[in-house]
This record gives sequence, structure tokens and C-alpha cells, in this order.
Amino acid sequence: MTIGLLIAVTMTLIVASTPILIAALGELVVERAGVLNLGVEGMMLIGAVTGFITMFTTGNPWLAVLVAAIAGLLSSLIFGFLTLSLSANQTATGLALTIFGTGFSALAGQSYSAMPVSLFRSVFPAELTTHPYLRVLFGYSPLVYFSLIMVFVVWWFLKRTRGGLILRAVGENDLSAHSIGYPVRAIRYGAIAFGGAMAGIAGACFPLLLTPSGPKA
Amino acid sequence: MNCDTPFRLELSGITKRFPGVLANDSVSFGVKPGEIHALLGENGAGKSTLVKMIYGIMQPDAGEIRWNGEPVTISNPNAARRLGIGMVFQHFSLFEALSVLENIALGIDSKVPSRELRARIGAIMEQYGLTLDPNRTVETLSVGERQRIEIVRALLLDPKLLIMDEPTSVLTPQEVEQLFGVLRQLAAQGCSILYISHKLHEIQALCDTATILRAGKLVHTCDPRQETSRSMAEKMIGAGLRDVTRSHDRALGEPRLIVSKLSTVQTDHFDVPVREVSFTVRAGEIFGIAGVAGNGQNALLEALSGEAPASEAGAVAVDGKPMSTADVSARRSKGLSAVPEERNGHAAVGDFTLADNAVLTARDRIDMVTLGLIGRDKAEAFAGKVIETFGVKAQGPGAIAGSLSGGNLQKFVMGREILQRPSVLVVSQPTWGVDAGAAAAIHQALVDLAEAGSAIVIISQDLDELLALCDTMAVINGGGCRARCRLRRWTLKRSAF
Amino acid sequence: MPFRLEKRPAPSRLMLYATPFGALALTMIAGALVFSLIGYDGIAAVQQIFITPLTSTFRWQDLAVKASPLIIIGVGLAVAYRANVWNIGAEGQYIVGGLTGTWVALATHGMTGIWILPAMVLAGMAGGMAYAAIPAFFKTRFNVNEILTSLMLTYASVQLVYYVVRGPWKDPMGMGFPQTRVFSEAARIPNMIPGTIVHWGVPVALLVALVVWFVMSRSVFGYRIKVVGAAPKAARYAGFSTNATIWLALLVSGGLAGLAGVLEVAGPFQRMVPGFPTNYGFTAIIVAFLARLHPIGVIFAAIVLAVTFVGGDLAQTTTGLPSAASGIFQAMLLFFLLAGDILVRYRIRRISSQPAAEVRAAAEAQP
Repeated sequence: MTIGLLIAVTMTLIVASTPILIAALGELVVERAGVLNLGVEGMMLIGAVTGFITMFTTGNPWLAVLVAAIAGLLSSLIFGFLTLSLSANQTATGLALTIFGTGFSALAGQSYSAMPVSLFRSVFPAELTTHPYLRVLFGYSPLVYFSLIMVFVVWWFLKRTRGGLILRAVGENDLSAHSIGYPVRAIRYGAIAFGGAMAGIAGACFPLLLTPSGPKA
Repeated sequence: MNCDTPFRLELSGITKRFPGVLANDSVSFGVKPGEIHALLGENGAGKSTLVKMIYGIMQPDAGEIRWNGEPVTISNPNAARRLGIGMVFQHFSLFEALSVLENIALGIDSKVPSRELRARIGAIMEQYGLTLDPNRTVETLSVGERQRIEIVRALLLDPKLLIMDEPTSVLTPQEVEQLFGVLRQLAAQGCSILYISHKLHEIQALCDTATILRAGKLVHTCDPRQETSRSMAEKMIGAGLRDVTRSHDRALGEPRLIVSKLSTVQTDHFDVPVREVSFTVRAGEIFGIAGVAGNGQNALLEALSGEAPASEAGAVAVDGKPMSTADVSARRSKGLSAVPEERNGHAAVGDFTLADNAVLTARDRIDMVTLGLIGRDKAEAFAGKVIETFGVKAQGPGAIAGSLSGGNLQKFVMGREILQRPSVLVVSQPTWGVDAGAAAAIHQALVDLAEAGSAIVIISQDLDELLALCDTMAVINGGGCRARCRLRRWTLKRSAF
Repeated sequence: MPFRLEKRPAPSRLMLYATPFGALALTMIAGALVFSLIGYDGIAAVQQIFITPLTSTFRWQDLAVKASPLIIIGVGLAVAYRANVWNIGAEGQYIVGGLTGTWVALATHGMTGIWILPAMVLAGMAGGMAYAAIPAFFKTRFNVNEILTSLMLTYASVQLVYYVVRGPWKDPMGMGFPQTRVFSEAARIPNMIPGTIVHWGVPVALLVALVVWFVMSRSVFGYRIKVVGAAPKAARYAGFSTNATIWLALLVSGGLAGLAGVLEVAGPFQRMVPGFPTNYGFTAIIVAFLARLHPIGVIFAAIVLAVTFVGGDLAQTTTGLPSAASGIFQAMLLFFLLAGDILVRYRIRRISSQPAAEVRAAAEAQP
């Protein structure tokens, strides 16, 4: 009985932390490039609403995640354009993006409120996903596994690749990076776009993972 | 050297314009293989702009760069490195939180496995007698070690032309000797070196050819060993060396500034703290502190002005009143004023008007504040007086400080302090990057202030300036202040540096 | 590109004050276009949101009541941002100010006396200051980014509201509603103009803006804030401590946000409810930027934002535009304003004859 409860709590925690984990991984890369984007929440909301609408109209969760990622990426480019190309204040621009995302999601999602959507089917066979104990390992949506894989990917990129080294160098001292000849602005655009896509995916987790029906048991 | 060898790098008609300034005006010269070529000029003469264009950080507005006879466009530093141009920056292009190895890896364009890179770094260090631990984090390294990273990074690319931008400004004499050894070895192997400096004795010791820039224009190309320091300096400054009128044998008065065993704590990597510095400056005396940058000058200035806390043992007294515990404003009210070397952003706020900048330091001594409110009329009147007295070229007290030329802003800053009639004035690099006319005006004002009975401390790297102005001189090295002497017995010995 | 940006020798004052108007005009044009494209009557929407609240005199009282907290918070933020101190948590300080004011109101419930309101106001300001002191402490002591601490503390304060109205301060006669009891007469801010909703918080807001404007433009305090923000090294040279200025900036902005909070809870709300956090603290950030951090400008910028709130409600009832639309308009306004900022420091120059070197450089840039 206690084991069952423990498993239920663990699974709820893991599922609930997934969107935050994905968004944080994206923003981690942005901050390592020396940029603070306070618009994460706005981009997540934009991802959530576009993901939801795609899911509702097509029924394809993979497509929904893709659309959410693209929507998050595009909205992050507003931030990138203002702060990098027009050197606007990062704090205020990020805040504007959050306000924008809040308004956009409320507007776009208005006609879809309280609509049900189908969820991801599990990638594992039913014996594993419904097993009283093993479901703690196998009983999640693919997004949960994606988030865990991305933890490793982001770590590997930052610590083990030349691209990650350059990104960290840009974040640490942009003037030095520029004078050695690295395209600081382009690298930051890339980091911001990645952060936006991750925030979009994180947003898509809400309808696909955390709708009132909850994750499949 | 063979005069018929074709140029490795040749510039013709290079022009670069910034808003309000012509940084390079049709500059043309060439550098041959194996030649150590000096690019000489005062601060602001356009040396750095020129080499940034050679290294691809900036693009010229007009003119042509030829590399081994072929016209080239160097659109970015990667393109420069592909041609075989390496550069060692004056303010290093290093990343403090990364290791030496990572910093070097960032400076080469291809991905090299770290084991191979280590081996290559080892080979280079062996060849040139340099030592560096590749695993250490840059923030733990000394200035000299940091420069070695830059040099190794440049050498790994097997450069055909190495640009050194003011490489010795932060080095000890031993480090300078070691650097010169490396450069001579490189030149002997056929690498051209473009050596930027304003230090004449170094150029005479090291370089085959010198190109002199003044206000963006090339004024002369010569063999530095055929010239005297004075002749090159006059070409660099564009006038006869400044003459200051002063009565040499005037009597000095009572001690006004007494510094005894002043020590500070380390704050950054580009300067060292001062250790137990003691000296006395009397009324009417100009006291010079010579030395290579990064030997504690900034720490000394800030400890005297009150910006940096002195460690408790340090004692500063003005006219017998102890100052050690007083903050900046209190010291200023009691007559101790200071002018740091950085004008825009430290001695003045670039975005403010001159009147607002007058409030920065003069608000108490000129009585601009009543009941916590700033008297704008008084600030404007004082700024106007500074502008008039010191011939600052500006559109009145409402002009934005950042829109003034360096020399004019420096005249304003110096004037602002001098017109407050401080008992003691400490200035750092008073004519750094200032044209000859403004420099002469500033020097005369300092002498006049001393003759009116103030005690003056000048911290400068410019030995000629100190020799022309000072009654007494000391050398600062490694945070300690030594070798004090009366200037009448001082003989000009460059080797002292 | 036939145009390029060229740095101005000094920031343009004309552009500094012209760009907010340009941003407002662009927001209306872009808003009309966007809302037309997605199937609403875009022009009517813009008219409802930006024009009607101003033309209908009946709405002016709404504007005044909505603008006052924005003015008070915006003025405080303008001071902090001038010092380069990025207090993003004014919403949290506003909430805590409301809560400490509520505490006084509840503790004095049933009492009378003219001292109660002043006591609440002081408690509200003290609460806002105390909440802003947390980021100030971490910033000055451990160099922790004040943007993140102040922002995160906002979320904590929202939870605090939810807790007290459901727990210790819940109205025992409230039939289970999560809210406090209605304040006594003596703890409520009286109406200023009978028959309207305009309360005494409105003139207080105007007074705050005027006082801060005077202090910022004339006093050593204002000068110190500006020097620290513009050039920290010069501030140290002038004898102004950076850490003390960070404290001052956060205490002033937090105290004013707390003042706005207590005026709201004792004025329009008259009790603490879960709906008390209304994002005034975040909207005030837009206000401060739109006003170019000028206290008098804040009055006008706050009215503009109040117009979008009131107009958003209007548009919802008349044209069926969702209330979220006003958020989109606010975000667009801020986007355009921030984009326009570049014109303050740079000017657009037409490139008449492009130098040969640049043509080649551009060609080589795309291998």
C-alpha cells in the first residue's frame, strides 16, 4: 500500500516537473550565452495554446509538440530581434513577451476552453506501463523521457562540444569573443531560438500532460 | 635586411571615419617578411583602429590591404587568421572562468582534440621558453601569464604576421625582456611583427622600421636606430617638446600631504595593491610617481581619493589632519582632490551635461547645495567658469560631456578640480590621449596650482612629462614606492624602467 | 541595405520623447490590422480601447481610479530604474503593502479614530519597503541579481494572500468565501467626489508624482540616483556609495508600491480578497518605460495604460473582443517603444554611395 502511494507520488512529481524542467533547460542555454529572457512564461503559454489547438484539430500529439516548438521559437525571435538587433533592454523586452504570450493565449484559446484532447500514447507496451511497480519507470508520456534525454543532451553540448565551449565563451565575455572573431549576435540568436523552442514544448506539456484527466495511470 | 624583398603586408590609402573623427586618413605603408615594424603614436593617434582593420574586426571605409602582393578583404578575424595574421590584444581577449586550454582552443578555428592541442602547446612553449599550466583557470593567473596565453594562441597558428598591441604596458622589465626574446626569435624565422607602442626606448631596442601616426595620418616612416628619442617624440607629438614656464628654485613650504605606510587590499587583476607606501609632499611641490602600468597606480590613487578602503595601518594626512577614515566627500571637503586616469565614466559622466558634471565633485567646495537641493545656477556658473578659464571647446555648460573630444573633457575635468583650489591634488595620467596643445595647458595649470601653494602628486607613465614638471620623483613597482630623489640630481636613465 | 545605423554623438532628446508617441500610434495601427486579420472589426476595437474611454466623460472616474496605483508604483520604479536597479517585483511589494495595511485594518476593526488610516498607510509603505529589502539585502551582500529575487518574491506574496484569506484572516461571517471581513468605516478611504468612485488615493498619486519629480530633478538624492545609474565608477568617485543607493532605490520603489497596495485595499477593495493581485505592479513597469523614467511622464503613461484597461472592458461588451486583447495591446506598445529606443542613440543614415570595400565585405560575408 505504502509502495503504491510512493509510486503515485513519485509519478505525479515527475509529470508535474516535466514542463518546468524542459523550459528551464532551454533558458539555461540562453543564460549561458549571456542573455536573460524573462519571457519564458509568455513563450510557454504560446506553446501551450498552439499545441492544444493543433492537438484538437489534428489529433496528432507529435505534430502538436512540433507546432508548439515552432511557435515558441518564433516568439523568442521577437525577443531576439529587439534585444540583439535593436539592443533594447532585456528585462523589459522579456516582460513584454510574457504579457504578449498571456494575452495571445487567452485570445487564441478562448474558443477552445474546456475542450478535451487525446493524449500521447505510451511508447512502451501496456504490461510495463500499467504494471503496479514498473510503471514508475515506464508509465509516462514520451515528453517525460524527452525531458530527461534533453538534460543529458544539454549537459553534453555545454561541457563536451566545441559549440558549447564557444557558447559559454560568448556568455562569459562577449567583447573578447567578438574580438577573436566569433559571431556573438548569431550565437545568441541561436541560443534564444533554442530557449524559445524548449519553452514552446514545455508549454505543450500542459494540455498534453497535465489536462484535468491527468496522465494515464 | 634586403630592401628588394616584396612586402608581406601592404596598406594603401586606408581610411576609417567615425562620427566626428577621422580615425585613419589615407594611411599607406608596408611590412616585409621577418621585419619588426613599429607603429608609433600617441593615444588616440589611430593605431588601434588601424590594426583592428588589419585583423578584420573593422572594415576600412576606403583603401586597400595587400597580402603578399594580392589585394584582400579581411572581413573578420577568422579570415585574418586564415591568411596567417595573429594578434595579441592590449586588453586581453580571454575568458576568466575558462581554463588556459579552453581559452587557447577558442582562439584556433578548427576543432583539435584536446590531447593533440596539449602536445602542440607543449611544443610551442618549449620552443620559445614559455611556461604555462594548461589546466589552470585564467582568473587565477597573473597579467604576464595571461599575455602568454594570447601569445601561445597566436603562435599555434604559425603566423606570418603577428600584431602586438601595446604588449608591454602591463609587464615587468623581466617579462619585457622575455617577450622581446620571443619576438626576435620569431622574426628570425621570417615572421613579420607589427609592434604597436608609444614607448620610444622599446622601439629603439626592438624594431627595424617605425611608422609614426599622428591624428590618424601617417607622418613619418624611419629607422628608429637612426633617430633620437627626441626627434621621434617630436614627430609623434607634432610639435617641439612642450615647455612649461616655472620658477625652478622656489622654496617649498610646510608638508601638506603625508602618506605613511599606506597599504591596500587586492581588488582586481589588472592592478596590484600598494604595500606600505610612504612619502611627503610639501606646499608648492610637484611629486611625480613613475612606473609601468599595473604596478599599483590605480590602487594608490583610489586609496588617496578615498574610493578604495585602505587597510587600517595606512595613514594619509592633509595639513596635519588624518584622512584615513574619511570617505571621498569628506576628503574633498578637507582639500584632498583626485583625478583618475579614465575620464569618461570615472572622472565624468558621459551622458550628463558639463554643469551636472561640475556637481559631481564641486558641490561642497563651491557651495552648490542648500538644504539637500542643488543650485543649478551655481553649477552652471561654475561649469562656465571652468570652460572659460581652461579654454574648453564646448557649447557652454549645457553641452553633453560625452560629446567633447578627449582633450577637451580632460581640460574640463582638470579645470573643475583646480578651480576648487584643493590643498592637495592627486592626478593620474593627466595628459593621457590628449593632444599637445591641451597637454601644455594642463601642465601649465598644474604648475600654477603648485606655485599658488598646493601640493601635487602626478602619477604617470610618461617620463618626459614627469621630468618636465616634478620637483621630486619616485618609482612605483609591484605596489611599492621606491627610489625617491630630488629631480635636480635625477639623470635621465631609461634603464630605470 | 540602403540604410544603416550610425551612432549619435549624444543621445537625442527629441527622439527620447517622440518615440513613446510613435509607439502608441504604431500600436493602434498594428492592432487594427492584426485584429482585422483574425476576424474582428479592428478599427472599432482600436477605437473602443484607445478613444472611447477618453471621449466618454462617464469613464473618466474609472481612468482616475485605475491610473492612480499605476502612477504611484510607476514613479517608484522610475526612480529605481534610473539607478539601474531592476526591481521587477513591484507587484509583490504592492501585495505585501496591501496585506500589512489589511493587518492594521483588521487589528483595529470596530474602532474609530482618524489615526487609523494614516497608520494603515504607514504600515503599507513599511510592508512594501520590507519586502523590497529582501532583494536589496541579497544584492548588496551577496551580489544576487535583484531581477530574479524580486520577481520570485512576487509569486510568494500571491500565495501569502491566498493563505491569509483562507486561513487566519478569513471572515468568520463570510459564508466560507475566502476573503477578510469588510474594513470598518475608519479604515476605508473616503470618496472624494460624491456620486463617483474617485477616492482620495487619486490626488495622493498626483502629489507623489510631483514630489518625486521635484526631488529627482533638484536634490542631491535625485542626482545621486542618476549618477549611480549612469556611471557607477563616477558615482564612487563623487562619494556616492553604490550599495547605499541600491538600498535607497529598492526602499523607495518598494515603499511606493506598498503605498499603492494599501490605498487599493482601503479604497476600491475595502477588504482583502484573492483577486487583490491585479498585475498593477507589472503594468507599472510598462508605465515607467513609456514615461522614459520621468515622474511627470508617469502620470500620462499611467493614463494611457488605464485607458487600455477601461477600453478593453468596453470592447469586450460592445465588440465581443476578449479582455485579453488589452494585454496584447500593452505588449505591442512596449515592443514598439523598446524597438524605437534605438533611435535615441542611433540615427538612420541613407548610404548614398557605398564604399567599394563594404560591398566586397558584404559579398564575402556569404560564401
